[in-house]
This record gives sequence, C-alpha cells and structure tokens, in this order.
Amino acid sequence: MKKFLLALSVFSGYAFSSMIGIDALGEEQVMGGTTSAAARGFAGNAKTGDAEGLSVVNPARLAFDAKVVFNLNFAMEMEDARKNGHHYSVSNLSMPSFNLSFPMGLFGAMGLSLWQHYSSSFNEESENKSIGSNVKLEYQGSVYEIVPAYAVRLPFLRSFSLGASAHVVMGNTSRNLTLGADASSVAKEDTWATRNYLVSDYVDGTWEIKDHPAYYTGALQYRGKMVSYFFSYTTGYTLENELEYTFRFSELDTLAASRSVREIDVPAMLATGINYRLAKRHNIMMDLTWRVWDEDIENIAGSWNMPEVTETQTDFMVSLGYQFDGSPLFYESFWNRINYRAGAWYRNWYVKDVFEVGGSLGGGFPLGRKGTTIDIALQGGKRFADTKSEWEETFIGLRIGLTGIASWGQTR
Amino acid sequence: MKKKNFWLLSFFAAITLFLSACIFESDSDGLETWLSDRGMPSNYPVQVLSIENLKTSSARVVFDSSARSGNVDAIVGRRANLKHDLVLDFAFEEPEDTSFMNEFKASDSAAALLFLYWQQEFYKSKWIPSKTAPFSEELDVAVSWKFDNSSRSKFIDSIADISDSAWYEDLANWKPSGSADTVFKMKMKLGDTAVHIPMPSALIDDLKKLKKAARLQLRISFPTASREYRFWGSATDSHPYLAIYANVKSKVYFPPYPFRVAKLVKSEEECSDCFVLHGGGYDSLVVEIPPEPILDALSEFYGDEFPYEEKNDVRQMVIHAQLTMARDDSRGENELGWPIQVVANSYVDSAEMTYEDSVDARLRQKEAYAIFDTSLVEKSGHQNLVFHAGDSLTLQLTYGLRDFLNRAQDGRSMKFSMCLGLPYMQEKKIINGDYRTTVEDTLYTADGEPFYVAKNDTVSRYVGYFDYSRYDFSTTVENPMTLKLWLASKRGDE
Repeated sequence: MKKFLLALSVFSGYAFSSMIGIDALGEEQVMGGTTSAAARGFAGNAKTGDAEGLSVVNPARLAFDAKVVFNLNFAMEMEDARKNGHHYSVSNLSMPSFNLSFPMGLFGAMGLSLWQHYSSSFNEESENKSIGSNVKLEYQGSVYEIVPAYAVRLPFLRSFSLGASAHVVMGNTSRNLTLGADASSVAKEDTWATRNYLVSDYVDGTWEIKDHPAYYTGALQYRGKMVSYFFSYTTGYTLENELEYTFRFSELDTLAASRSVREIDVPAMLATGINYRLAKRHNIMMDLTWRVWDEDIENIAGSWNMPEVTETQTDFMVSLGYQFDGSPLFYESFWNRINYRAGAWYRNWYVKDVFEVGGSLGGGFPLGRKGTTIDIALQGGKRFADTKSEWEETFIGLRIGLTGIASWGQTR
Repeated sequence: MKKKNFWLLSFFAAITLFLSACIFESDSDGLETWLSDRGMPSNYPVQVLSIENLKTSSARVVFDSSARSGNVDAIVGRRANLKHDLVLDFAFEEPEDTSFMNEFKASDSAAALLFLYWQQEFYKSKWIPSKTAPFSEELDVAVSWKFDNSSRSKFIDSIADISDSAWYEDLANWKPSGSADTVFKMKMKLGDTAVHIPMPSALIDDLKKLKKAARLQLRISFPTASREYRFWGSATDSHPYLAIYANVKSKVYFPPYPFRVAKLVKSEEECSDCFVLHGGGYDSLVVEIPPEPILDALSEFYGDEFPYEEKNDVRQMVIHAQLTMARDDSRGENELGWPIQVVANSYVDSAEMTYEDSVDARLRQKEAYAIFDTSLVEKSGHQNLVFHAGDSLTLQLTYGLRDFLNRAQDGRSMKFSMCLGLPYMQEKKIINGDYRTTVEDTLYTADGEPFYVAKNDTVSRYVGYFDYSRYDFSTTVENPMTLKLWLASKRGDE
C-alpha cells in the first residue's frame, strides 16, 4: 500500500489542468482520459471490438472484448488564457489514466482503472518591480479514482451486456500563494521593520467520498452488426475535502491552522453513445454525457478577495467521432494497419458560463507483430468563459497512449 | 523518408513552432492581471499602527528558587537582595593506602580545607570594571552538611544513580546532619587563583567516621557577604576540592572533589508586591494587557470588526511588534556598570505543540532581537536596555502579538514576560565586533577559554557573565505603554 501511495503521489505531480475552475475541482479528465477516445473527440464509448479496453463511462463494453488490454496514457497541453487584451500561457504534463482489462470468456470480463478524474495544476511566479508584484502561486490537486469493473454478456441475449464499476476516490490537493511585501505606504522612519518576509497563504487536504466507500456506474451495451449503443448511469456522490489552512512565514513559523471540510455534491450522470459502422472498417460515433449540478462548489480557501464559491451549471458533453480501423493482419502494410481517428466535441463545463469546443486528430500505430500500439492524439480548441474571474483559453494538446494487447487465457 | 517529404515536414514543424510561440506567450503582467481577476493579490501591503495608552491588567514577579547547576559557574555570596548558596556533592572511598586515614582518624590536629578556584577570566577581563577586584571582606560562613557513611564500596554506585534533577529537587528540603558557623576573611587580589576555606571541626569529626565509602553533601553560605563570589564548578579544569589533612601542618592530604555542584538561589526582597527583577536570578515579570484596547484600535484602523469571524485573516500576520514602556534607572542597582538587556518572552500556543499530553499548553517563546532601527541605535542606543541613557524601554514582541491576534477570538489577554539578561557593552553599536586591540594579549571567552590576539586584531566585546543586579520595574508597569504593529494587511476591494 505504501508503494502504491508513493506511486500515486508521484503521479499527482504530473497533473495538467486548465486554469478554469482551479479553486473548485479543477479540470475534469473526461471519458477516462484515454488517448484513443481523445483522438475521436472523446466519442466511441459504444464501439466494441476485440481489444477496445475499459471505458469508465461504459463498463458494459468490456464484455465484448476478447483480449487482455493494458493501456497507459500521457497528456501534454499548452494553454493561452486571455481576457481584455491580457494573456498568460502555461504548459503541463500529466498521466490521466492507466487501464487494465481481462476478458474471461463466458465468465465475463474484469477491468481496473486508475483515473485522474479531476486535476488542478499550476506553478507560476512573477516578480515585477514596476508594478510592485512579488508572487508565487502553486496548485497541485488530483481526485484519483480506482475503478474496478465487471461486465458480462446476457445468457440468452448475447448481443447485450451489463456492466458495473465502483469508483473509489482518493487524492490530495493544495494551494500555496506566496507573496512578497509592499512597504510603499510605510513611513520612511518605520521601514526598518518591514523585513521583506515572504508570506504564504497555504492550504492542503485530502479527498474521499462522504459516508460511502465508492460511487458506482451501471451500464447496458448493445452490439449489433452495424450499430452499437450503450446507456449508463453513474450515481451521485458527495466529495469530502478535509483541509488544513494556515498563513505561514515558513513551515515552522505559522499561524494556527484552521481545519475545515468542504463537501461537494457531485450529481448523478447519464451517458449514452452510439457507434455506426459505415463500411467494412469505417465507424462514426456520437456520445453524450449529462450531469445537472444543483449546488455551487465551495472554493478551496477563500482568503483575500477571492470568491467563496465557484458557481456551477449543467455539465454536458456532445462528441462526434470517426475511426478507420486498421487491418489486424500483421502482414498488411504498416499504413493499412493504423487506426485513423478524428473527432470534435462541445462541452459545457461544470463552471458556470464556461463551455469548450475542440477537435482532434490521431491514430493508433502498431508496433511489431505482438499487439503493442502507440496511440497519438493531437487536440486543439477553445474554452469560452463569460465570468469575471475566469479567462478564455486556447489550447493545443498532445496525448500519447501505450497499449499492450495480449491473448492471455484465451484458447483457439 | 524521401528528401522532399523531410523538408516539407520540417517546414510545417517550423511554422507550427512559430505559431505556437506567437499564441502561447505571456504578457509581462499577465499573471498579475489573472490573479487580480480571481481576487488574489500579487503582494501584501505592510501597514503600521501605533496604539497608545495601554495599561496593564496584571503584573507579577515569578521567582524560581529551584536549585540549578553550579557545575560551571559556582556562584556564592549575596548581592542586590539575591543570595546564592553552593552545595557540593562528594562521593568518595577510603584510600587504598589505609595508613593515611588511620593517621587522620587518630589525629588531634586533623583539618579540612575547601579549595575554590576563582573565575580569574572574569576578574582579569578587560571589560570588567576595576572595582570588582581586588577585595577583602570579613565573612560569616555558614557550613552545613549531610554525611552518609557505608562499609560497602557499591554505595558509590547507588549515589551515581541519583539524577541531577532528582538531587536538585531534594535540595529544596535541605535537612543537614551537621552544621557550624565560622568566620573567614575572603581576600582576593589579581593573580590569586584560589581560596581555601577551613571546615569546622564537627565536620572533621564526621569524616573521621569514614568506613569504606561515603557521600558528603556540603553546603556553603555567606549570609553577610556584600558581593557574589565567582568560582569555577565541578565540570571545569579548576574544579573545587576538599583537602583532608591528617596534620594541618602536613603537605599530605586526601582530596575528594565534588562530582556535581548546585546553586541555591534565594530572593531577599522584602516587598512581596514589588516588581523587582534580578540579574542572574531566575525570576521574571509576567505582564498582561487587556485585549479590548488593542482589538478596538485594530477595528478602527481597518474600519470593520476585528478579528473577523472567519478564522483565517491575513491581518493576523504581524510582521513586527514592539512595546514601549516607561523606565526609571534610579530604582535599580548594578555591579558592573554596563547596560543590561531586558529579555522578552511571549506566551505562544499557536504552534499547537503538545506538552504533557495537553494541546492547550501555554508555551513561552523567547522573542528574537534580530532587527532594529540602526539609525536610532547609533544615535540613542539599543532600546531594550536598562541602566543607560533615556527613560523608556522598548521590547520586541513579534511572536507574542502574532499569536495574540491569531487567537484573540477566545478573549485572551496579551501576555508576555521579561527578565534581566546579560550586560551589553556597546549600546550604540549594531554589531559586537569592533574592538581593536592595541597590544598582543591573551583574552578569554565567556566560558573561560583563553585565546591569543595580536596587535590591531578586531575582537568581539562580549560579557558572558551576569551582573548580579536588581531593577524595580514599578515605573514600567504602572505607566501607560505604547504598542506599535507592522501588519501584513489585507488588500481592500479593488
């Protein structure tokens, strides 16, 4: 367990996120953050195949897989935030998820995912004497989920499968705002005692679910010859963030810490998706997720003049995707064996008056004969914000996924 | 890859990088503007507030009369209504050559002398006024002792098992097995290394009863002394010893020496409700100031209620705090003639440290005196001194005020304590290192280590010895005080 927590803390150092909603939950890594889904505009949760792997939105899909799939994902993103002629850029690197699925024939299939569901990451500093600023701001937060899943095809209706998953939540979050002194209003004879301390406004805490060990997803999948679709329902839950908040001159010289718990009611989510096979290896797909936020989210800590809460709105995402399946035959040419993907999405964030449009291109490139694939997705888009505190963001991203496919336990 | 494709890809890569560089570039004030839009500051303003006419709600002197180690500084005497006794703890076995003890036990002219070595480094120090030595004084000497005798050698081991702290505690209830008063002429002239005080015959009679091993706890007191005498303790090279002679005219003696020494301190102040502190005494003046005037002044300064209902408020971040009080040096006396530092301690519990399983322990934090107004120091001297020019005393109480404002919601008072510290030789210097020697010489550090200095060397002027002085702080606690705060202030609505 210690090794696992250590690994988790290392992963949490690789969190990327938008600057939007950074005091609430941060950015949501939708659809499990897998590179293959990202390349299709986050569509394709209804797409079945031999080795599609685990979908945290649609665990029922797993039942149709025939091969063991291991999948590790990396993401890089550059963002440029703008408002009223000012702009600021950041870049980040993260590991949004890794997934393992293990089909067991008639006994169904099991899967396990480690998913960085929400993340907030920011580490910037500035010292600008002309405007008297001396500031360093760090955010580091991840809501991690361990998602065990199980799916099985129905005994007599073999085109249908049922799946369920539990989402065990853990993680931590911190904000450190370090400020230098502005002694410009101090009388000359008193400046000797201003000391130029760096003062830190520091808060950190941990995540868990209130009163339950996990929240749950149930899904129904249909696989037809041309059309596949799914419906899923994810239960609502209350995230609990235990926080310790203090002002400090150094780690050993602090004011008394105040401890608080912020509770975030995450509503239930409905998701559906369809995949239509146009011709032999051409697929178009569409996914929809829907979640109605009833309550605003208390911010991580509200000192200075920061707003106490982040206002919410109905959070939904419509995604459209296309995939050309590469040939599974190893003796085909390399270009024929590539999975070509493209997609676009519209997404209403959980943050009020923030929405996002984006597009992506990508592919799955086979490595050798043994079923290893490198997935790549190039993404770009814009997050629009019509609020006082959030800025619009233009972003480009590169995601890389490493997928291993094997036939363990399968007999010919 | 064909050459044409390579150049094409390179061209697109260069265009992409160029466009990325154009798009993903930050303004010089981009971060500050983003922070401002989110209600975050990019620095914290410092503001200064002076609160006058503060009066104490209580003040009391706490005198700690617990026994202390005299293993290094063996101080005995009486000065400024402060009296020091010494207790020397000897544990010794009969010498292997029993002929000496047999002679001693049978002798009618046996004697015992207590040898005490002067702290010559103090008396010879260049920084110490000449009036401290030489001297000569007729002294009453009160000697009392406990003598535990045993026929077993292992008795010595059992004494070693008694911890110092347990011994100090035991000394509070001193019940001697024998005592005697004598008279002794204490003389010291520069160059003298030691003094030897004859022990009374009753003690010698007890020593003659030595079986195999013994423990002797010997208490020395000078009840009529006019000064404190400074000797080296048992943990130094110049440790005391008891020279036991079979014949007072003989040069052969048996020299048990104490393995530890304790100082017993007693205040002889007659005024129980006075605010007198002693240099070198373990006493402190605990002062409380009611919270209302301070919090009211802060509320008025900020224009809203202080402290906020919310627990975290950056305005509790005290950058610097100092309290200025009245002072009257005529109500004190000192020996060495140098100004003496007043050391401030604050009661701090914000750190939430546990003490004896209590998380609510009131902990004392020594206030740092690391920053000061250099122009004021050069003009008027350090402001935390008594026995120097001026009529005010300013103590820095940053930790204490930070803690007080942090916890003021619970209604506590602002509480601090002060005690007299070491003498301060350069009251108008900001560093202690500007004495230039005029001749080559051997000087001594505070703990007695000699060191050689050449001509024109720069050395620190530092006195590591207490001035056994007294100071009446009645003027200080009875007059209004002024608190000055440097605050990390919350930025207003912008």
